[in-house]
Amino acid sequence: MGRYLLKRLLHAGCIVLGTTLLSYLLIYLAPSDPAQVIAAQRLGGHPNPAQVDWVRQYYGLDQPWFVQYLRWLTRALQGDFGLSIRTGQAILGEVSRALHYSLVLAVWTSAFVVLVAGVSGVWAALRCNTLWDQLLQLFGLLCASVPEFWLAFLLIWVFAITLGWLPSYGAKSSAHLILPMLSLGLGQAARLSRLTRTLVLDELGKDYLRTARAKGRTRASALLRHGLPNIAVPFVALLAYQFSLLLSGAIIIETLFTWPGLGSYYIAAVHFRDVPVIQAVVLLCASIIVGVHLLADLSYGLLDPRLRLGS
Amino acid sequence: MPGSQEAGPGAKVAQTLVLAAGHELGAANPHDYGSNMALLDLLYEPLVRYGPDGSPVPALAVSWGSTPDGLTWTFTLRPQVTFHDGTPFDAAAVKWNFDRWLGAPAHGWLPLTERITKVETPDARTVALTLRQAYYPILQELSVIRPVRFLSPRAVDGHGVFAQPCGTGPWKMASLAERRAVLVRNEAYWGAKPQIHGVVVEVILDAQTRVAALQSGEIQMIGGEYLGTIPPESLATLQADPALAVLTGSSVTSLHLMTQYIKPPFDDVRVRRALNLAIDRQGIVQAIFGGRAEAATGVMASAIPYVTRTATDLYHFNPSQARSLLAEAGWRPDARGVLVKDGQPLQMELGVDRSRLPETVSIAEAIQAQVQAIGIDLKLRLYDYSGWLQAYRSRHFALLMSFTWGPPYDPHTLLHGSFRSAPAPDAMPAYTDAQLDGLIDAALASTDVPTRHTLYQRIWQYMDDQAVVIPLVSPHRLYAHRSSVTGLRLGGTEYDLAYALQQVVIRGKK
Repeated sequence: MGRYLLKRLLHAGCIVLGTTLLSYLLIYLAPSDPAQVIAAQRLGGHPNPAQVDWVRQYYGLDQPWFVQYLRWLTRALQGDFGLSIRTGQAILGEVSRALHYSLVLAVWTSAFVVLVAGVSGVWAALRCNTLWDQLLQLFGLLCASVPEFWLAFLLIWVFAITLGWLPSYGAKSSAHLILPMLSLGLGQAARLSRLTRTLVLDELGKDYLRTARAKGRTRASALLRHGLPNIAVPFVALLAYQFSLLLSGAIIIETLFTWPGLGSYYIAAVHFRDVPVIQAVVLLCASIIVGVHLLADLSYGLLDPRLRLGS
Repeated sequence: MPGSQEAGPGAKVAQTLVLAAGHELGAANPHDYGSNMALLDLLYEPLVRYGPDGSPVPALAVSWGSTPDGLTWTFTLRPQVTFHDGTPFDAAAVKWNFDRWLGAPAHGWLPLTERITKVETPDARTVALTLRQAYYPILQELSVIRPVRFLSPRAVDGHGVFAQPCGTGPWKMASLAERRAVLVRNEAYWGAKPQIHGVVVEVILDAQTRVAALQSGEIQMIGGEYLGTIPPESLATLQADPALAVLTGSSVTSLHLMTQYIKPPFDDVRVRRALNLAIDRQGIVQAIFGGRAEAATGVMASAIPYVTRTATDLYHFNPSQARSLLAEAGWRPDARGVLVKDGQPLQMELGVDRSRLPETVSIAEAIQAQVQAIGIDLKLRLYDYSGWLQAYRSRHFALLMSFTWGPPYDPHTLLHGSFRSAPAPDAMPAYTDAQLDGLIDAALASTDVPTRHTLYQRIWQYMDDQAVVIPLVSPHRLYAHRSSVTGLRLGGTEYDLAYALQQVVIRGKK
């Protein structure tokens, strides 16, 4: 197990490093010159060549890209992410704040997804092929097929404009969390619910459950005690994937609701060619995604003894 | 909802106006470029304001004058003005502000930074500026926001680094977060105080969400270039809602196409003229802007100083004349109707920055269809702002859609920046020739209005004759607000928020 963990950690490190290198390369392969873009936005108007050169030197953009990358990497590994070119503030503080908001949204959305998908998936499997099941399937299909941004506008229209119950933007109170959480969570919950229903139906037909029922357990209690551990692995796998999407990829929903998370912070940095911020966010997101998947992989052994290594 | 407590019909209520801004607010430092200009306008004031009609209006200076040669300008400061922190606004504060930004490379886009050679303070209420050469737009440039507006000398830390927002304006900053600014009325303001007591600026990044927040009443006003534009498809919704009102103003910025005039086919003035004649500007105004724009009569909108003209024949849609001009230039239709010269079809690319205004892509598509009718094969290339800038700087385009700067920068900044040969050999204006250079220099150095007026008319005439650019349309200014907000008015520039809000009253709900 120790060796396995070490190998996985090494893998994870390589993936994260590779991602940061790739994103640095992309910034330099993009058709526009970062110094030009920064000069135009920092100095206003159409900057003249002397001003662009000044920006290039001031931010160290005159060095070859690999020198810049190595210099950034050395500092980043020591925990020094530098200052944002766009705001002049310490990146570590800004990223931590954005990460906090992203985590709040991602954790609550995931909790909502687990609750809704777990309950509705199991319930639908137990009521398989009844009218309720079919209605739920239809509703789930609808939620899973609707694009998030469209759902967001629909929710804003219903709950903010028509009913006036919930705010349409911002992050000031827990009420502000509800609409972005629903916009992100309904589709994910629908997908996970369908998976759960299929998995549970699969298990319900298996011999060990029939045996459990023969011993006098009800269908529901047999399923809870014996069936659910068996479906936990694919459930966790999809959940981990969706959670990492929520943390790093909620750009559209964050922008729509002006939610100050990592996604909108990152997009602002890309528009500004704020290289140190882009790199810091890429490093963070890559670490989170790799970390969440690693944790999920490790959890399989805990959830299902058959998947444990060695012994 | 803010500002809508229980009150009789039409009665005044506790008054806070909530506005939406489409971008991060920044630190509200008037000397850098990271802050929202409309927010800065509430806090900071210039010596001279750009009036609603384009004429200079006294602000922190009560009067001014220049020597006959136009080289020395003397400003008399308004007495008994203090910054929000109580620091007196005097000649020393003015000099301290000028010294912070004059000559800094960051502000080189503003010609004034290089033209002012000396700032003197003969007494506490007088400031004298010495210029390198006569430069009439000095009053217009002194009215811009960044970097010329006045910060309290006590609003910086021991190293001179900006520490907190503090100006002389009608509004004081009560609290500022990344996405929310709360301002309160400056009770010690020297001028007419606003009617309402507070302004809250909330950042809402998405344009559709801004509209939704206005409809739900969370926000009371949206629109304008610095607060965040209104998407054209939302206009009908906004107009249909009785709780909302739409406020429009005449155009101040315009769109035009720059041509690659040094290479074929645009090195031939007849081709440039033909393209002007081939575009149906009225059609674009009606179909794309629903009438909320003006067909261009020249490179600048008609509200810009020294622009007094009506449309010449060049800008009237006339495809048959365009065809005959192209035929004169040697371009003749082949069997499929495509224009050909020496075996080469008339093909070109039009570069468009789609990030600035949502309508730009539709305009480009309309132009594509219109010029196709006379046999020109036009391809579109869409850019974000940085890609557009790169194309402009490297002259890597045949046609490039571009904007004027709007007041208070125009007409002089655009002419000087895009249509005059730059001193640096690698600078790339959109069009240059010696005759136009001479006219622009003479206009900028002119010291009396009639001469300047004549010179500008010659510039416009010359630009028409040479078809220097292909002017398109000037979109109207567009705002929307809750009907309960009354007294809103538009100033001379898009960032004149202090002026816009000065007479605003929020009426209670029935």
